[in-house]
Amino acid sequence: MTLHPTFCRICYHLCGTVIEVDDEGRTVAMTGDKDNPFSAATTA
Amino acid sequence: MKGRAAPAIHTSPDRLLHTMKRQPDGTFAPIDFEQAMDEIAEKLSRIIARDGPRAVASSHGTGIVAHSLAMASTHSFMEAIDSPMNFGNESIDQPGKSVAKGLHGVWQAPGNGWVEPQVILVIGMNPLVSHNGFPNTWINGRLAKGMKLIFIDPRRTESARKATQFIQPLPGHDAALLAALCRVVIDEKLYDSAFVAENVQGLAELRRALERFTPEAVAAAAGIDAGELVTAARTYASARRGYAICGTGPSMSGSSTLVEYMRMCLETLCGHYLRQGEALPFAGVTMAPPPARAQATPPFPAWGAVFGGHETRVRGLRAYYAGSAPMPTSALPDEILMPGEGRARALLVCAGNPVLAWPDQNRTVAALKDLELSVAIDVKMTPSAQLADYVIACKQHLETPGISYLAEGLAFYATGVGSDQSYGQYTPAIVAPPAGLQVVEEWEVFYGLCRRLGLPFTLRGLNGTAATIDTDRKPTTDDLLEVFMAGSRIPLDELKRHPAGRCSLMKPRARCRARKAGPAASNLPTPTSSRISTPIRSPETASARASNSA
Repeated sequence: MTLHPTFCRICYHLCGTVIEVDDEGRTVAMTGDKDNPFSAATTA
Repeated sequence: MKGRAAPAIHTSPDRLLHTMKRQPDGTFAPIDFEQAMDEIAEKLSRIIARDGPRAVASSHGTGIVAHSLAMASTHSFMEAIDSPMNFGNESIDQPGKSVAKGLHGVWQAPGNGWVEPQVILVIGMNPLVSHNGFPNTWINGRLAKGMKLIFIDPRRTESARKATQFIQPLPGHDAALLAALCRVVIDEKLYDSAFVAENVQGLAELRRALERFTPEAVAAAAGIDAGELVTAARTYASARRGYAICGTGPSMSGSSTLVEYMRMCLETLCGHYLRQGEALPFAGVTMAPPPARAQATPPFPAWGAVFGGHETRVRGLRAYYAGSAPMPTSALPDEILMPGEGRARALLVCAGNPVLAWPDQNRTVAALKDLELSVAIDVKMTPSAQLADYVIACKQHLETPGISYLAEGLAFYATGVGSDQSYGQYTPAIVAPPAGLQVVEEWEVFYGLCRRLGLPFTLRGLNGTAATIDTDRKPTTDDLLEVFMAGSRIPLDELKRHPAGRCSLMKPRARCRARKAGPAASNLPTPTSSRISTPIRSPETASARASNSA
């Protein structure tokens, strides 16, 4: 299991997110990125 | 569901696994991507040779935000084949936001409310849910410091619960409500008289046009109390810093241009713009530093000849001032269906779903079925893709690299959307597409078509550069992002070196510059003076008014 900071591209606000990827390379969870200065853990 | 559903979207059983081709019996069968591209290019070539490039139309939907290069590469292709038939979602979901800028004129610096606003007026928008309207990161802090938050919405939304004043009118009265606010602001002399004297023409004409929009009359029609409007006008206009913003409801209503125009009048009356010497809230990361200047650009043509003079054959609608695609989508079904020279015969739909999104669903379905060649570029078999001849399966966003330019660019589009600070981010692809899938990025489609048609693929960057990409040696997405970002304040390489690609410039050095001597400096067409106009001043409107009164 690995965590990858990125940003969401479902809409144009581009909230900072962290994607959890399992050992088989699949995305399993998404949370707000608390270290993102723009969206600070929140997501639209 | 939006971003939190990202994992489910990536692993959805509905996902397109490979490119599909419609069979003679109407069913779909997988086809190799390169084979499909050969066939599409051959058909496009035949249609262009027979009917000219105008017979090929493109249309993008809101899905283009997922991929940084999707919209730019659509435009590259249309430019290469020299077809003006470039349509997008903006002309049906918020055309008023662009058109009103032309009718009113614009201030060449952002609104002043991005930093420490004292008031925010939110009309038909739900920021806590959508992140449109204000950053959720600072709203509670601002309210604790006494900021006023006025919501006007027929629905008591989640966000409206935070309002210091909530006005709940009947739907459809937004333009009149804003007109009444402007009227109170003028009559009670609450406006920024120094700013108006220096930068605005037509105040008396505006006041005359507002004569019948008394708070009493507007409130009675909208089912609210007149006192609510007077209170809101006084609160809004007495704040030195603030902004008003209209959301999806007003933008998609029948009078969206007028609503946006009245919002701009209110903003201009109150002088809610950054002035000379004030620090900009954002200074460019993936983009060049904004050319902010404390100066008005007067009204400019919002549609017509300056946008290439391209017209639709139906209803004489013309290309207009839009951030994305200049042709009006509401005309496209008839452009396809109406016989005669210049008829659209091929359509490439990129990340859009016309069947669900365009006006008049029956006519849209009839038009999509009538095409000689219909290509859908998408991640799943949408109702529109089900009517296409080819459906090109695309990567999901976490499977592609990207940059956060959209949030930056929007900060100039309207105060209250986009980034409120000098922040940008690059992300690599986070996951690979699942094994066995044959999926591509949108730009690969348009690049590949140019290559097959023997045409140059010229990518227009965010900062005004244009570069022709070698069609003999296929670039990577990162290669193209570098070209796309050319001239940015922070080069792509440097952005990548920041932790997780996040770059935040804590101290924006850029400040709002002084007015430039001489005619208004602008890349917009034909300035005629150096003042924002409150009454609508376009030849079209003037003549329409004259004929109405005749």
